[in-house]
Amino acid sequence: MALNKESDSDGGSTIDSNNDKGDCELTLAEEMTIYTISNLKQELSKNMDSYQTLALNLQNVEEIDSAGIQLLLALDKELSQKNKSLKLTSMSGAVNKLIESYGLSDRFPIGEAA
Amino acid sequence: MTDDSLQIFAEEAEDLLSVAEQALLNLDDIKNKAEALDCVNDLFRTFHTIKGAAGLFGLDLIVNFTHIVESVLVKVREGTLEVDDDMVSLFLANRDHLEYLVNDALSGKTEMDKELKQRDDLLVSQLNSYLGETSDAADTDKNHTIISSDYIPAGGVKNKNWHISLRFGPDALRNGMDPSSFINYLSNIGEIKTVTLIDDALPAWKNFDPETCYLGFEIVLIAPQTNKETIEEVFEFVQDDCKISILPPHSHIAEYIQLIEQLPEEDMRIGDILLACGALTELEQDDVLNAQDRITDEVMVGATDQQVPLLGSVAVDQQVVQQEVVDAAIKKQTEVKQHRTDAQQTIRVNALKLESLVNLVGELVIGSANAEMNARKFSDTGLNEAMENLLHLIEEVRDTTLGLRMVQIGETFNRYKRVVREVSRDTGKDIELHISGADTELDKTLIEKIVDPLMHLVRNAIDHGIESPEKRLKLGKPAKGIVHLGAFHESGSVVIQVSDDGGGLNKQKILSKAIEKGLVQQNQQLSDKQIYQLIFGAGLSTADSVSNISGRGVGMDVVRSNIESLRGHIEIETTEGKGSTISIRLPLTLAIIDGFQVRVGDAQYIVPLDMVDECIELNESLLGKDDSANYINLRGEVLPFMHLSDMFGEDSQREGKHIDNIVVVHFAGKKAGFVVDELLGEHQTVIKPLGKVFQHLTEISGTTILGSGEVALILDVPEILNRVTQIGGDHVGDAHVGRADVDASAAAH
Amino acid sequence: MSKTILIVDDSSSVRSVVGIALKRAGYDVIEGCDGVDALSKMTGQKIHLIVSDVNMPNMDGITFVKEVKKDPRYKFTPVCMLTTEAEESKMLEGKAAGAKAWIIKPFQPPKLLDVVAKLVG
Repeated sequence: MALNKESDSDGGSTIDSNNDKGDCELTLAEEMTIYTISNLKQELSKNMDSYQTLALNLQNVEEIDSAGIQLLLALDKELSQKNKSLKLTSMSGAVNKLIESYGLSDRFPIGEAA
Repeated sequence: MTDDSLQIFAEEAEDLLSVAEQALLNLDDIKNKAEALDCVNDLFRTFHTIKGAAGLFGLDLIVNFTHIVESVLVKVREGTLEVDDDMVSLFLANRDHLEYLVNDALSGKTEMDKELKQRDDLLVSQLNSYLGETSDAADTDKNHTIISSDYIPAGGVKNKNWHISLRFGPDALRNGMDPSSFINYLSNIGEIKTVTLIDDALPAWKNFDPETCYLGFEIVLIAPQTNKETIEEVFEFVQDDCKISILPPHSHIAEYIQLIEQLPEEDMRIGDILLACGALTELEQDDVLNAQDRITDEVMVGATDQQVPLLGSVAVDQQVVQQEVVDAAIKKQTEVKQHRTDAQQTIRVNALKLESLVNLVGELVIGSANAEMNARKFSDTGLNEAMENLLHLIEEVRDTTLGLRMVQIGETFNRYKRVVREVSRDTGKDIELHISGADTELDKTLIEKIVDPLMHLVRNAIDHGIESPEKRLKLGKPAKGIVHLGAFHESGSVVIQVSDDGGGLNKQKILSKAIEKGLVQQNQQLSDKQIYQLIFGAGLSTADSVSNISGRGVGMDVVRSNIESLRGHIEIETTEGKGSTISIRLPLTLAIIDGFQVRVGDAQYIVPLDMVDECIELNESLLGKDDSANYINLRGEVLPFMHLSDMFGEDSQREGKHIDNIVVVHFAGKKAGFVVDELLGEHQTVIKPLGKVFQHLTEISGTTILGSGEVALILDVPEILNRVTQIGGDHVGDAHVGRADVDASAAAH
Repeated sequence: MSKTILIVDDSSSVRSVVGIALKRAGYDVIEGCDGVDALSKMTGQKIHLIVSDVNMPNMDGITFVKEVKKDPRYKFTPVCMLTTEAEESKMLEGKAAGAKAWIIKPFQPPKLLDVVAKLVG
């Protein structure tokens, strides 16, 4: 499972379905790699119409590879095409490192969830 | 690397070299093509594995040498070269040379000494003669052009840096090839100035397959000292999964044009990217984009041909050539099924660990005997049953543990194929080696120690035993002589035999020589066996004298003492004109035996149980009238006996009503009785070697500690048998000498 | 987080040296002495790279790669074959089976570390 409820005791990842302002905040699980990426895409495809801004918390992502980055890029592209936005509220060292090495720091700045 | 690893390598190499030898010797015998190919494959694999492992350790001498050997073998495998006798000999020599190289490597030498170097040169030149002259042509150095960062060739751009364009194929991620790893790796050869990720190919979310790779990269690398091959190498594993374009510093503008055209994105977009990442200046970018509008393909091709500085075209050409070479090589490669020996799965264990296990098991056996003795005192059925169970298990543990040290003798036998081959070549004799009982197991330390003595015997059999083909034909024997190596188990011993169908020993000559040397008295009566046994004596075995007599015996006394130091015995049977058989008897193991415990006086002795035939009472009637007789009639057979109490000076109660017992023992066809005071029964015995002080005691082969903590001596039955049968020697084996005229059947115990 | 590498080779000295080199470089190492042995050790733990010899008893490297690629838990794990210039056909077979990287034997530890760095960073 790529995503879990925040209330889950395993400290995994969650969808915070607090949609009052049309925002959705998600915390992703520890792995964003080719092994988990298909599940992750399925999870992220849910409720896409229900929010205006998607805030992803990548604090727990210990392992990320190019498939993970590519998913973020595809998501960003999709949301901006629908006039929605993607924000990364927080990222782990591993995520930050890869984003930097791909020269994507400008595209994925870390910002507070709206 | 650590010495430990090197040690593992050395052991592995040793194993592989023996496989190689085996394959070579088989190759010598086999005429069938498919089987021969199997051997060649085995051979290839062994040299190849050694090369691989040696490479890991940086053992260049071994790598270089095995490389050439391997090259020749590849030709053999392809069928370009035929295996002949000379080649087998050459490879045997190669194998030996490699053994030296491995030993040198183990002792830390990085250069060959003069002798080794000479042999290396010789072997290499012989190998090269199979390879022909062109062997090294493929290895000629490629000229690596290093680009000076300041030099800007005509038509070149100002950019001092490398430009790398990557467009990954859809399967890159699925194949486990992560672009980020490769890109990060670039920082090992230069400084990554910029990375621009191109995600133009990403489809809309609903068509987006997250496992498919859509990514591309434009990378600027600052690496003035590197060359194109180095950068290409970084991406060698993604060649199939990635379109790669590498533009060197100051590449011609036309090359950028080409690049832009090749890339899937729109030209303007790429122009911007190149500008953004600093590959091109704004002016250059304009030039490029304008040029594209004007120049036709033809003109451009022309332009590249003529003006582009060497780099691009040469590099491309080179790559084309490389590709062709690769393709050709693949075609040439025949489909060869790699034959694999069914290596039994084994674990290497440090010999010291094994030894300490064997010792511990020994202690366990002693401890259990002690426990059993104490348990008996309670006469508790439950306890005794449990004890019995335990003893049974311990016995199994003992056998299994000892079994760990057991190895099949076959591999050792196979080594002699080589000896037979060589010696028969040298002597011009045609000889076949027959092997039987190759699966007979014995203790590994024993095997190691009999290698040399056996070698000696095999050599002797060929050299002196078997006659020349001419002589054999005259004698009506087949021209081809046979040497037979065999092994089998017999009453707790292993028997190893070396036989030949040669001339046999000449009894008369041995005897006269022995008399001449003063080893035997003129009028002394000796059985045939005793005469033949003389060849193992020290005085008789100088090379000159013996080879004149019968052709046997350089250092036979050395062979004998080697065998005896292993508690073994050596014997020869021979028929003049028909051949000889030398039998070596060795104990199965050096550590533990099943013993039969007896009491003589106050002391306890152990007789190895395998050698005990039966026990009988020695009463007055059995002994007959003459009680000084030292043999009895045992069911019509003469059985010499001796009082152990005499031998060991024990104070035995032979007077009065006391009844002595005779333990009948046998070894190597001899039988005798030991008179003892009391029979105490079977006893598992852990052999403790005798201290140095007692080593002159030939009647004793070791000591053991009894359950009670007392020490018992283990009798060296073969040695004692020799003595007893010498005393009553003439009668041994004669069935009807009835001096001690008794009814033995009544006395059978 | 250190990465885990599975090394499969029937030569114990190769495994030993490779194992030491990789551990020194900070990787976790699992060893297998042939295809069968290696498969038995792939119990679901994360493996970032498999380095496998081609010529091995019981199950050769090619068959092993095919098996790995069938396992959903490891089908994306990159595989590097240890091969030789004399076995180009094996290399192609390995590639077809899914082993996209290779090291030409004989090699020394730095070369291996190089390749590992390229593949798993």
